[in-house]
Amino acid sequence: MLSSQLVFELRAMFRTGATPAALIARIAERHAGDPHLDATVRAYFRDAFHIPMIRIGLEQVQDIAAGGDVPGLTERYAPQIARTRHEWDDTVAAGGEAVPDPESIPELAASWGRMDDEARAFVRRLIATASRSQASAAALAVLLDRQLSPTG
Amino acid sequence: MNPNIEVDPSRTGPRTYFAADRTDPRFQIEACVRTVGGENVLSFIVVAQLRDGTRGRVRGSEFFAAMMDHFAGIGVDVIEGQWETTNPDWTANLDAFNRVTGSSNVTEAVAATLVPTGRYATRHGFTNVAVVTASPVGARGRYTEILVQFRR
Repeated sequence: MLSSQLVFELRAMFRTGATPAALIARIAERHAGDPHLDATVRAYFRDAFHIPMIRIGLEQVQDIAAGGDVPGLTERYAPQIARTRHEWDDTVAAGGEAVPDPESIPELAASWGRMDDEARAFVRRLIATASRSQASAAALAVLLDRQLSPTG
Repeated sequence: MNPNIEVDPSRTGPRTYFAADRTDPRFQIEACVRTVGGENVLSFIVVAQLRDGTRGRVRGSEFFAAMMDHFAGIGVDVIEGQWETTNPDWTANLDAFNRVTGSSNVTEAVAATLVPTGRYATRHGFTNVAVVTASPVGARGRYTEILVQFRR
């Protein structure tokens, strides 16, 4: 059973710069002894941040609860939480990661019609991946800024 | 259905599914369905083999089939695969994707159908494949994060 109070608390923690590891540590503290703690973490991330399936195992959750860290966790999941923030935080407007339509890019417009489906899919994927990388860098910069802020 | 699949009713509902190998609960599946833009999107984690090669009595395809049976009522429009390196125990799809893209000239969309999840999805009729993002860009054989969607 998820605690709505903890969901509220987790959201507040993220707003003030908590990393995914800090959020997981808080969940682990609240649910100490839960034999399915990793599944519980996933359930909270779904409910609080609309992250469908954070890919972290039980041993990793236990490591974090003991003060350890998981390489790449912040880099991968802080941007995902930031990306869904307009869905769970009324104070934030939607927008942000708009992926441009390749057909609207002047340099591609003339040749777009001559590409086959696989080439078009590849260009779309390149643009989506680059856009996501850029948004991730921006989200991590905001997180760092909050952590360095005297009020953060 | 494999009689060794034991559903956890306390964590299973219309949009969630948890089941384990009753002979060894290290082997399990966890899944959820969310609605995005009018589509029901399925995300899941299945553990059918440990990193040392140990297998349980339930095959990955059997867990997958049981999960799809469970969600037949609400209907799945998209099977989403998020293959990444966060948990080294759960990289079977990413490893297979990198083996294929690093050793052949097949497209990434075709490569996605040749990994375990891709094989399960296509067998269930989800043959329309979109590799949404692949990071780092163009790193065939060395990807660290793939987001792929399978539709009918």
